[in-house]
Amino acid sequence: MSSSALRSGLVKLLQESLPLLLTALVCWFIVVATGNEEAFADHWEDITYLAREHVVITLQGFLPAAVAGLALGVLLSRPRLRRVAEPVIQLLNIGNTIPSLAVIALSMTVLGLGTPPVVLALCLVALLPIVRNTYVGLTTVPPDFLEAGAGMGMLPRQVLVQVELPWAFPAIMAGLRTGISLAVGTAPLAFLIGGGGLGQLIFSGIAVYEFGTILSGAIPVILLALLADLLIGLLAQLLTHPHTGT
Amino acid sequence: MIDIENLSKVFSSNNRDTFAADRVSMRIAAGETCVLLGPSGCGKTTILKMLNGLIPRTSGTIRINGRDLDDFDIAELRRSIGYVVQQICLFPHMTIEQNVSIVPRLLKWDKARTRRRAAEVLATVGLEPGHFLHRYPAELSGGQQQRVGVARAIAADPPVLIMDEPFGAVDPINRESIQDEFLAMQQRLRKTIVFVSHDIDEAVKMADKIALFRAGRLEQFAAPDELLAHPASDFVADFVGKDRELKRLALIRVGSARVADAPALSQDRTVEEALALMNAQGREHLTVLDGAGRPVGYVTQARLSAGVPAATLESAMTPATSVSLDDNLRTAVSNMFRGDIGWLPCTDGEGRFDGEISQAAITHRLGQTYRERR
Repeated sequence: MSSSALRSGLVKLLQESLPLLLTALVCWFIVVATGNEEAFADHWEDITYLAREHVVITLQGFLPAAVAGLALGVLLSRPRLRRVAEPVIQLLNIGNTIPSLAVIALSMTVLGLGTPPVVLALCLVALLPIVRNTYVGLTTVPPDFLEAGAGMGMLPRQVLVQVELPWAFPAIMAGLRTGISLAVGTAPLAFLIGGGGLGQLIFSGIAVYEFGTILSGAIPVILLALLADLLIGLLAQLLTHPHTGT
Repeated sequence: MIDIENLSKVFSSNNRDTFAADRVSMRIAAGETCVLLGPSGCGKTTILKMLNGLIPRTSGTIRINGRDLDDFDIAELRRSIGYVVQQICLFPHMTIEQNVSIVPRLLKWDKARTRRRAAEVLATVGLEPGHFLHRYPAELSGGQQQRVGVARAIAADPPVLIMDEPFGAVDPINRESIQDEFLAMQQRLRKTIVFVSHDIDEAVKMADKIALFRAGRLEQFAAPDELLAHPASDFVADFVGKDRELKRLALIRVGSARVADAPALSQDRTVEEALALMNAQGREHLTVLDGAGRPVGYVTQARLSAGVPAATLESAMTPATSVSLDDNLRTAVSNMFRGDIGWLPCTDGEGRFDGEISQAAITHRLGQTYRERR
């Protein structure tokens, strides 16, 4: 890699991480302004432990959602399923308007208390944007490109891999970013049904009216959501060529 | 060779049948360029896409080099027909090399051969491989993208090439030169080409045969000069335009209309000699040549008889332009108009005098086909 490419890469990295850095700064300002540095320090051990737990349950929900979402999006975009695709997407859109808390509650009625209902709920929450973006990305490939691929003798699966998926790549990545941010942001509710994670600090802080405790739960959640978004964004950048945007 | 017999395509919508192709039969010989021409909606693109199965036939047969289309595996068929897509359609996420290598990769050529071939076809279409292989389509101009589109189609060296308005996305200035390059390339490669166009001038320039369509029916299938000189119907005559004789000018070489036994004299000869020669042959003018036999000017009987104060033709002549035997009549006529003169000396490949061409000779040559048909 040439030095100019390296420099532009570094600039990109800085640009992408700016929201995270600024938010971290603002959060720290709030902590200091409300005089909660000490509460933060006291909770440090809880924060690191719960944050790890938080990441694990988030990923447990997100990774299956990513795999299933991509597969479902690809399936729905195939010509044979186009007829059922629109109603399915509509259904998913309606599903998306159900508040996360309600999803968690519904999930609990099926799977009981503990981690499994949380993972299911997070998976459902993250699934919707991933399916929708994959589907939209794949159905907006210009017909000329599909015909060019087929006309040169590509089989349908070769058209999918060589033409459609690269075209839909930015949309798919955007779906993954939305999905993981939603999962991280929904995970605190896990505490309500015994699922662990940073929600424990937030809700116990609310219960005993300790502002410092609430902050030491809420701020890591915010930063984790931004970090997850950033990581997927960087992954997308890494796999994208500068001249194409795809 | 492409053999099309009774080919029909019916699109049905709202219980109404529309014929995009109506019992079309035609035969395109190997190595020939056939342009499918007609107004938009006449079915020319539908017919093109039936050739590689992108649009299924309603009825009729298509044979490519004697083999029925139904006997081909569809993917195999398409890989054996080069396809230049309308609007070029290079894939934006692939480098030029990857775009050009699509069909070789589908055919599972080994890597070294594919890479060698990619560089080779880029050079064929006039793009420096070292400069372009690793670029992306967005970095190229429209004309360059069009060249890559052609390179991609010929990468696996298919015997047949189909092209859907290949030069439509290029600006008029570049289109001209890309057409010329394409003609030169076709001279070397001798592919069987089927090519959709809506532009009569492009068709006349590129085609060995023109198939003119109207509402799915083949109105006329003929060589360009035949189409222009003998339109089969009022529709064809209308489509080719009121100036169709002028369009024929571009199709005929100066060599086939020139007068071979035209008088000429070297520039160091005298005025008297020139007058004597013109009198003897009953000519109004003669061409003056330099030492190497190249035309440099002309003299007319009227001016020399009026008396010129010069001994040799060199100082008595009027400078003249000439036209090569390989130029077309359009160029000759244009030069005549520019020089305000009714005739021009012709030159051979080395620039030496070789007869002359006059407006009368051009008219005679254009009228030949009408006299023969009478």
